[in-house]
Amino acid sequence: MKLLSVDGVVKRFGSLTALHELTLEVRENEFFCIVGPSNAGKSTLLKTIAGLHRPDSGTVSIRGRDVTRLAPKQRRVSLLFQNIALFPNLTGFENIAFPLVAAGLSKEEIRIRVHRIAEMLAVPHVLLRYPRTFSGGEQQRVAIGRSIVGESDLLMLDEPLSNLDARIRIAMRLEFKMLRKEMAGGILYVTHDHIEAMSLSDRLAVLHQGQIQQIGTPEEIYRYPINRVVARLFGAPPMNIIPVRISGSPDGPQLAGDGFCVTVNELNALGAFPNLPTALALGLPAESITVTAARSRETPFHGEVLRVEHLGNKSILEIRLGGGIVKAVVAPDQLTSGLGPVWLGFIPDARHLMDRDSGQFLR
Amino acid sequence: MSASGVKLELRNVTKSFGGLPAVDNLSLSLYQGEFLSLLGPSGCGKSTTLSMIAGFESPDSGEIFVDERCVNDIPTRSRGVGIVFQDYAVFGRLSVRENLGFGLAAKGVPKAERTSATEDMAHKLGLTSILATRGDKLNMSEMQRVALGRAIIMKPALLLLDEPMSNLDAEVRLELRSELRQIQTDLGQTVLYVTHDQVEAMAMSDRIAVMNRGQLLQVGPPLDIFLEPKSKFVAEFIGDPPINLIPCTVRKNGAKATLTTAIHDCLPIGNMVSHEYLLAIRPHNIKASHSPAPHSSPSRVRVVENYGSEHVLHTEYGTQSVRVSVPPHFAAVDDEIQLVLDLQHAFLVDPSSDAMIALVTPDRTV
Amino acid sequence: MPFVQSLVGRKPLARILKRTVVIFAMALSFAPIFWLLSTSFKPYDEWAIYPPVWVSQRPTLQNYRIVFAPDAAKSFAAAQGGSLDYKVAGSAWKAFVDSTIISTAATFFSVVFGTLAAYSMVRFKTGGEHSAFQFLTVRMLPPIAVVVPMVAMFSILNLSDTYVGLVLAYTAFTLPFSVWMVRSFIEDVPQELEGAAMIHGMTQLEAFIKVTLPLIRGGVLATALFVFILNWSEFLFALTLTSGGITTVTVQVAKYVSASSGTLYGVQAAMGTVSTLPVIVFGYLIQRHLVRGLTFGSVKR
Repeated sequence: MKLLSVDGVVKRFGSLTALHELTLEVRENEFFCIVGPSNAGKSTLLKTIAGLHRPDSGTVSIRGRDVTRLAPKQRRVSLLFQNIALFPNLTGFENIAFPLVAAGLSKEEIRIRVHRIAEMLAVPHVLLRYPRTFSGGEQQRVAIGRSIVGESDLLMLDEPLSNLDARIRIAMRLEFKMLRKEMAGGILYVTHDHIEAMSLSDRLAVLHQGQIQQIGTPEEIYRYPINRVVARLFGAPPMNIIPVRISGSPDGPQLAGDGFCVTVNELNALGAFPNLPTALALGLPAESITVTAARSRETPFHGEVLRVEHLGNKSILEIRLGGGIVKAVVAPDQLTSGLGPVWLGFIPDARHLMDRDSGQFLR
Repeated sequence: MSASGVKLELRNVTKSFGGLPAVDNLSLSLYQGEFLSLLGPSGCGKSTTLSMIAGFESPDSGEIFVDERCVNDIPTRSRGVGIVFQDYAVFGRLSVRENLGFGLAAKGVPKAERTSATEDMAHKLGLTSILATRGDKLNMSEMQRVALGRAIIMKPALLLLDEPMSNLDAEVRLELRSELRQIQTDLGQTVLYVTHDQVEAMAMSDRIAVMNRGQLLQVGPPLDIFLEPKSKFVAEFIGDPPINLIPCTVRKNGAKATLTTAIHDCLPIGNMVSHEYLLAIRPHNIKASHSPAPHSSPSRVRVVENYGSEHVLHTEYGTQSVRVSVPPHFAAVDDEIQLVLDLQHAFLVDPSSDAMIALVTPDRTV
Repeated sequence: MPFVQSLVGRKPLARILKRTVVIFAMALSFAPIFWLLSTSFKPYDEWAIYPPVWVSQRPTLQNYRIVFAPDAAKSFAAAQGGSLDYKVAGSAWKAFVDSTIISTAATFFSVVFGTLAAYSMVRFKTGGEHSAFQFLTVRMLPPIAVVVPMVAMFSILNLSDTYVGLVLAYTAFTLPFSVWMVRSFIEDVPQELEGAAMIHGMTQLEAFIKVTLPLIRGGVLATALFVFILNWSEFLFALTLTSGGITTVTVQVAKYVSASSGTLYGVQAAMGTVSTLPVIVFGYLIQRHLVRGLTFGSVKR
């Protein structure tokens, strides 16, 4: 059963088109993330689904009901804004109780529910205080409390963790994963942080300049992004994209780039790509590059380490390969020798071949 | 100019607000050409420290030396420090050229000299082709370079950066951090970088100074701090995914000892005193396997976090969960796996003092 | 302060200079008020003499008596045998009443309509992007330029010398100011707060009344105070659009002139002093609502 269905939604602000014929759906009990850089249109999309913006065309349906023309309060959705928006003249308790008061629940019922939520979010101690006395984390939790207390069909969160310290973000991420068990309907979560999105979601959509680039599971999107935009958004560091060309040889078709040349078996199925574009590129995930100090069968290509970033649990090497630069991720105990000459090896995946002009991966 | 190359020295600097110390007896030195990160959570005192070095606030006690000259009573403009603020603050209505030359113009430097210095800096930063572009038409990378150029052109002894990237997208941050480090190294500029993001600090710095509650907890190169944290706070703060803290009991047994936790019993370790500790062990030092191995114990997977190139499992460990780094698709929720603790790089935390104690293993001596 | 300190350093000379400037500015502001108060207690022969008398050695309540109880004053004067001509208009009580009615009503309408208009301009962009400023330019017109047309319009509409007429005129002329001020307060309240209220069960109107209004309460009251002061001290329309039936405080003060005794400065000073009281009281009553930083902590920027 589809929880949320967005169909062909267009939203313009003056001459600027924020959303271009957007179509996506969220299933029951699904944790769905929307990932994209700032100004991709993520907030506009959430506000349109919530009813704070009226789309110029297209429809929004919730559990089969067309809500495109309905006021926000009739849609049974919750939206947690990026800048939190707690009511400053109400206490923590009153903020969380707000939706219940508006719905007309009894005082007793409200009291029980607010306390239950506050316990769950570990903020019972701020219930009697005002938002201006809360810490960043407490503000976040009270705002989350207000969003989930009303048992809406869809909980939407707009970059809820982006303003928090890195440390708190990691802890809160885990709490969100636990939170979905409390949410009966589904969660639509917007972020610019791909790790957050991959960690939390069942499925995710990549939004760029108002258009959806790709929808799929975190695994699908991380492994096989559909185009350059998506590839550059995922991975720390993101996938390397290297210009290559295909040349014939006695051993079979070869993939050659600046500083390397690989025979690719899968390319024998060239029948699958009848018209290979002339300008080709190869996507090379940073973790798929093997790096050794000495030349070996697995590492036949010569490179030079220009910089090393030691992150503790892994190291990122910036390596000059031929005329270009690639980044490789290695385990921390490898290559403590630092800068200087090294040997690289990798096995390209034919599904990572890209048309350099259009930026689309060939499939 | 200093001969020994100590560009910045803080000596017993203290600053309190309303009775509470924001910066508590801080002493720190910064050397020529070094990139030092001042790292800590919000409210740890790092921004106050930067304010004092810049001259926006004055310390209640202690001295600040820039280029070996005491600057406590010297106003900001004469201290020889450059500052880059959050969001870079490039002047939107001025061109790149005007932005770069701003400080020089303010100081009354003659036009010819200004032009040559501006063009030289633009060349070093790859900005020559956009010298005429307006500040508000630049992309993030260009903006960072202009903000840096504007500060560095004044030849400051020390460049201060106050969390310039904290409002930026994750993707943009990755790109800018490499560039910033590259520029800093190429130009040999001494930099003090304030941040709350430990990954950023680890990636960019020559040394990291970790602060919490106004106090300096540890200073050292990133790997040293990662591998040998001196306090529980530092161990927990550095490293993503964060370190595991597992209650354990050490029992001395003649010339050796054993370590016991909720699910691992009597692991052999070297000569240590009997005591209750917290075992501090990083997620990639807990080895997971599907079949039993020496000293392994079973554990059920509760949560799987997808980090892309690896997965992090949260598995049951007595009454708590521990984080374990595994390759992608190693296990799913509710699977049972075997865990082995690699104590080589682990530490013990004394629960009463939070001090770190090196774990003596049979293969490793203190 | 650290910024200024960095400019002038912490030398004692700088501090003395700063303090001198502040004292000088204060003295300049308070001097006329002091003079007003002092003159209101002076006997008639000290009102306008040279060299000026700063504080009277023979303070009297005679001026105040004339303001409030001219008949009593007359008999007092007769007993004194002074040369002052006390043929002044009746008690000033009516002037206070008239002014209060008109100023209060006009302030109320101006602020209410102004707030609603400002909300419309900010949230729905009514009238285009610069509507508030365009509206404000109406106020830049010197009122004296429109006095003649106003008098003509009022007489045609039979609004001359009526409460309704003056209230309308005052409301119209202070409306741009109300809109301009309240607009900036509404802009300070992020739309997300109303959005949150709407998502959690309110209509837009409810959200405006129950969420936004309480947050800008201080600003609206401050605007009300300023508008009240404008209305209370308005003279030109009060003079030209009335013909004796209605008298405001400002017009009353102007009446304290007699052919034989000239301008009764002392009495004017007394009237002036008393007429500042309602404004001071209003300001005092609302001061606890003029709270800054009401939205701090609820919203991140």
